[in-house]
Amino acid sequence: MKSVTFKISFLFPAVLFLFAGIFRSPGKAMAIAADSIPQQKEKSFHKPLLTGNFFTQFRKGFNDRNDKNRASAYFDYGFSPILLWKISKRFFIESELEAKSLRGKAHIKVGYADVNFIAAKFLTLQAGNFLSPLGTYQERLHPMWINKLPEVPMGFGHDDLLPVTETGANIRGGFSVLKSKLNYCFFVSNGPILSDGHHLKRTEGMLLYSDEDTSMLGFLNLKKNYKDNNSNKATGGRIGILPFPNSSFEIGVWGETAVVGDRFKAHVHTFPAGTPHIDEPDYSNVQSRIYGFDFSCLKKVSFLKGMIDIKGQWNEIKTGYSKYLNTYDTSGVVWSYAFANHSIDYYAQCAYHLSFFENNILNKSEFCFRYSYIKTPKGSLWEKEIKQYTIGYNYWINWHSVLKLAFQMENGTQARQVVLLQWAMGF
Amino acid sequence: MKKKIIQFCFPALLITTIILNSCSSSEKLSDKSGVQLWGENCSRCHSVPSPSAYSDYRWETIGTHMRIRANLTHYEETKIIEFLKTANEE
Repeated sequence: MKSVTFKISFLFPAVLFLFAGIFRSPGKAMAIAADSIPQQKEKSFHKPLLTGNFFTQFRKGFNDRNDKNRASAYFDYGFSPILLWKISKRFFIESELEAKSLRGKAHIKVGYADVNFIAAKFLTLQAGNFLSPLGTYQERLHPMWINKLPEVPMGFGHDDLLPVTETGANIRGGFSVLKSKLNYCFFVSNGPILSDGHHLKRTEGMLLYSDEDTSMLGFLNLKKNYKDNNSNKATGGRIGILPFPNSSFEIGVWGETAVVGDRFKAHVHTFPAGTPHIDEPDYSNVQSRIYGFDFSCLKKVSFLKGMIDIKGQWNEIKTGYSKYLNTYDTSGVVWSYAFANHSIDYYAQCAYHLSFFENNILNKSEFCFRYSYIKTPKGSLWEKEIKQYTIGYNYWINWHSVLKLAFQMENGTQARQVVLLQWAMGF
Repeated sequence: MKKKIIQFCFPALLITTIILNSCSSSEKLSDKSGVQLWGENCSRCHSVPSPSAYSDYRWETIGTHMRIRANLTHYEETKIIEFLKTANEE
């Protein structure tokens, strides 16, 4: 019942916006400032544009409890060409190919690929595989030349707590209301998959987002497909408000809900002779909710002669209580355990760019501090609770090229210190 | 306890920003120039490029890309691109 209410709360405004966009006559209904803009002469074709970003970094770890027998120093790289194609005034295509090597693991994958139709001044329809609108981090801040620190906050990477992309359809847009601005995004997608340990070992109860095969991770990962495990579609959205006329502050709330369990019973285990029989769990009704909020504040501070940039995002996942099988016991005994996946992660970040100093080195300098926290469910095989502190110095060579030096410290179930030196560039 | 803090903080923050906004005497979006919107919006996420960084046709494509990605309004996109093209010619 709760789920139905939750879905209605997303779908109702989505349908409302859709109808408003299609049937709205210009100049009526909403005070949209865009009405005063003269219509542009329509071009039937624009050349595709190749853009993207690149980074390379050196990462040296110290006192890493989980990395004792491995090299704790790595050179990493990432190259993400992005194709942007404005086919006409209303149609737009974008696609990213992502090639990167992180800590010795290389992969190539489609970052995202989507088509957009600008249906009205405040309504764009988007379909395909698009960056997840759950929070602002994936959509707006994840490219390394934009991200203020060399690594992503905990829980925000690929194959992590939150989805990086969604495959489905999406309506979105922005408009002004008096002196404020509102933006919205509502989507329907394949949604997450509840792991039963079949695709990724020791991830029982975790949400997986793209059905990736671990055997491919070391070499080539073409995001095999977006195989959904049931006929239920995930629904979600985000609403953001920029209350101040200078757009300096934005706050957004977002959420997604889906049935994540398999429609059929998961893979069937073979129990060794002599061991007590355990019923295969049925995940068909297991439901999950992902929700949170994000904020962003950018302010010129005269007495500091610089810009202060504060950003943060809170994510929470709640997946229903379910039974899982532990098949990893070396004695061959299979035993069951149960838990509800309640995971939390968040980050808060403050950057100070010394933009208004006269000295040419100082005005290209930026200092940044980030606190990041992650907590995964007790009783799971992937249980962890980590606090991460990162302090960094950035030197901006020009507007799209930055050298970053950072020191990162982690405490909790995983403890280590890391020094990172990164060069990142957008092009 | 944490949940209660969040449940309290979030609406409190929202109400505060709305109250502060209602006291503000700044311009409406429709009164703003392209250069002003360019400065205000681009820097919310990334460093601000100079108008000469790209050619006019590239700015048009990037403008649409940013409109979709950052949920900019149609007015903002149009005014910013107008400004960038004009500044590019100078």
